[in-house]
Amino acid sequence: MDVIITQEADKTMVVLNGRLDTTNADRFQQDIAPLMNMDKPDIEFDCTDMEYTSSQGLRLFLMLQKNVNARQGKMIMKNMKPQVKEIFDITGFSNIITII
Amino acid sequence: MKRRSFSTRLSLRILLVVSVLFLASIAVVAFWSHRLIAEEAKRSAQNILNASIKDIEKKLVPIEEKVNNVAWFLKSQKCNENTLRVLTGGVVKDADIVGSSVAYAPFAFDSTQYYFMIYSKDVGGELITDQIGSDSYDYFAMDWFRIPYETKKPYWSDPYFDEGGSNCVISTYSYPLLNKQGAVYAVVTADIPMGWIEKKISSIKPYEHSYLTVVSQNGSYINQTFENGLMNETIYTTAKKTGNRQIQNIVKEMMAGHKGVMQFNNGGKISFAVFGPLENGWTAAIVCQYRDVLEKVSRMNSVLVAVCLLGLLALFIFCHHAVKKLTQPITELTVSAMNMAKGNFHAQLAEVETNDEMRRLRDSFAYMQFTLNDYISELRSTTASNERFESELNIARGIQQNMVPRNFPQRPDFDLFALLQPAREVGGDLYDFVVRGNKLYFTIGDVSGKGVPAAMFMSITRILSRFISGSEQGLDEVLGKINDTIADGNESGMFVTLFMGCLNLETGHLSYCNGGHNPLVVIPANGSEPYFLPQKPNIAIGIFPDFKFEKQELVLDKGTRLVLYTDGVSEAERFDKSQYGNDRLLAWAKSSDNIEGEELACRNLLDDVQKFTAGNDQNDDITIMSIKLK
Repeated sequence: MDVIITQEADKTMVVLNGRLDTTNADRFQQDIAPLMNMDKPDIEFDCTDMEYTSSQGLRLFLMLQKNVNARQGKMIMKNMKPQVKEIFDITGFSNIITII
Repeated sequence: MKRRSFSTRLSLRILLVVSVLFLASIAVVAFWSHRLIAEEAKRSAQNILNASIKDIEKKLVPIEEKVNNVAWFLKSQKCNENTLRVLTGGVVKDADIVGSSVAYAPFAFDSTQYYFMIYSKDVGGELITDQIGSDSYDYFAMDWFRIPYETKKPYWSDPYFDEGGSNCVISTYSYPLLNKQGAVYAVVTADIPMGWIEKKISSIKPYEHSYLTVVSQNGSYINQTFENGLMNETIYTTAKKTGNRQIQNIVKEMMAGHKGVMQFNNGGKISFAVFGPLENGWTAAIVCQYRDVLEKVSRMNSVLVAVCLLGLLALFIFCHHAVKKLTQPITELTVSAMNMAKGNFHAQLAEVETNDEMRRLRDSFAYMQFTLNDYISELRSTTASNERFESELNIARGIQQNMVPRNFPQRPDFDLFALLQPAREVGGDLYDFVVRGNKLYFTIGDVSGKGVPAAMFMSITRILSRFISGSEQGLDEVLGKINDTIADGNESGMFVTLFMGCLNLETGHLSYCNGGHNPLVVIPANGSEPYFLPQKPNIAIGIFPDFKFEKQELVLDKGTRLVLYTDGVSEAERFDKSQYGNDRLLAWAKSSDNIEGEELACRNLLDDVQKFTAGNDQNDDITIMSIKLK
């Protein structure tokens, strides 16, 4: 999973590319660590090229969402492929994370 | 091939080099010594030759003088026969002279006498003097008269046997008397036996196979006589017989009256000849074989070679011993290394007293032993802790496997089987079932992640689900309670997807509630298409407290099969990362309606998944549960 984080004027753009699974979940956790320390974060994930996420990946998105909530921020995930969206749907994560 | 020791090889090499040097030195010494000795031998042979010539001449000159005196006397005055008898008798008195004569040319003494020759000889101490010239003794034809008569010069004859005279081999010295017209009118002679000269000549023997030879101006041998007469050979015939050009050249030089040293090959024996002329026209030569000359120096060289060989042997023994002693530490370290290789890491190392490469080798060896020991003990402790960890994991695995029911009921109203196959020793999947009255409660769940953390979460979930599902509440409330309990203080963000169902075994009424788990597959009994059970996702358990779960209901026909699974099935991956997926799952479900027995159904699905992954590592725990309402 490639993670590109760019800071724009009013929000943080994160471009995700590839698969998020057991083999690279730890790496992804390190990659998104900077997002955990922001004041009133406004994070937007571009999931156009995201292929898959395992339940460990879901957990990391959940942790980030909780962190964002605690800091009164906003987090949305955009352009998710149907098969990825399905994973979020089945587990009910779509109820917690804003997916548009 | 036999392997030689280091010390032997090194010693042999040193030996080889030293041998070459030794042999080269010996060869040079031998060459020069041979040359010097040969030169010296030639010089010495020349000296001996000169001395021998002088000795022979010393013997001959007095005889010549005696004859010359008589000749001078005869020339000075006219003598009668008596005077001649006295004169010849006087000559014979000399111990070395056996006969003497004055022989006149025809009619020279007396115009009436054709022959006139006064001859004195010593017969057993008695002097006999006679005129012996006659038709039966025609002396004019004899060499001793004829040659000086013709050459008008004194002449030493070739040796001949003096038959009727002294009866031994003699040589005659002739001195011609010349008249005023320069013609020879008489010859004065003296006969000497060859015995003394022969003895003298044969006594000259500088080396074993060397000899002195003297030949007359005609080439006749002065010394070489047979017992019964003169040898017919001359030096010319001898040389011709050998067919040897070198010898023939030497003879040519000798007979020309030259002095010199020449080398020749005498039938394989390399020899040299030293030659020189006598005053009387004879020629003497000494012939030596190099083999004789060089015998001593050859023997000396042999001794030298023997001494060298002994020296080389001693050198080899010394080298071998010294190198062996110097390399002793290597041999001992080899033994130590072998001991270490056998596992004895505390093998005692040999001490090295010299402060050199051996010492450094020994020190590095000791250091290696030390670090090896260190490493081994570290490895031992790591292995021990790994083993401990592994055994603990195995115990945990046993505990976890016993947390899910292993005994499946044999009942007339339903059939159920489940299998759980963790990706690692322990996993985060769970299933459970329990029959209460006429209702079958069943659960399947999947904790996010895997391994030990997931296993701990699974245990909690398993206990809570069994405990809480026992209460007479709806499944929505049960799930809500489990969710609240787990979410309380869950800082790790871990969660578990959980599906709970309650099947009325009499009516086929199914009540169920889902907490974010994969939808189960319904395979109708009437052969119509299998489908995914319509499930509200609600939300996975443990992340969002106070969530209102919604339950759902459905009535199943008898013979309907329910297949529950975790995402280890639907997300099983091949090498190319493609996943098993829902379509394959439905396809399998469609082909499975003729499979009898739930255990077979479960195993058949697992086989289908494994056939798909084609040997790729199982990347998530797999759980399958199959229920059939009868």
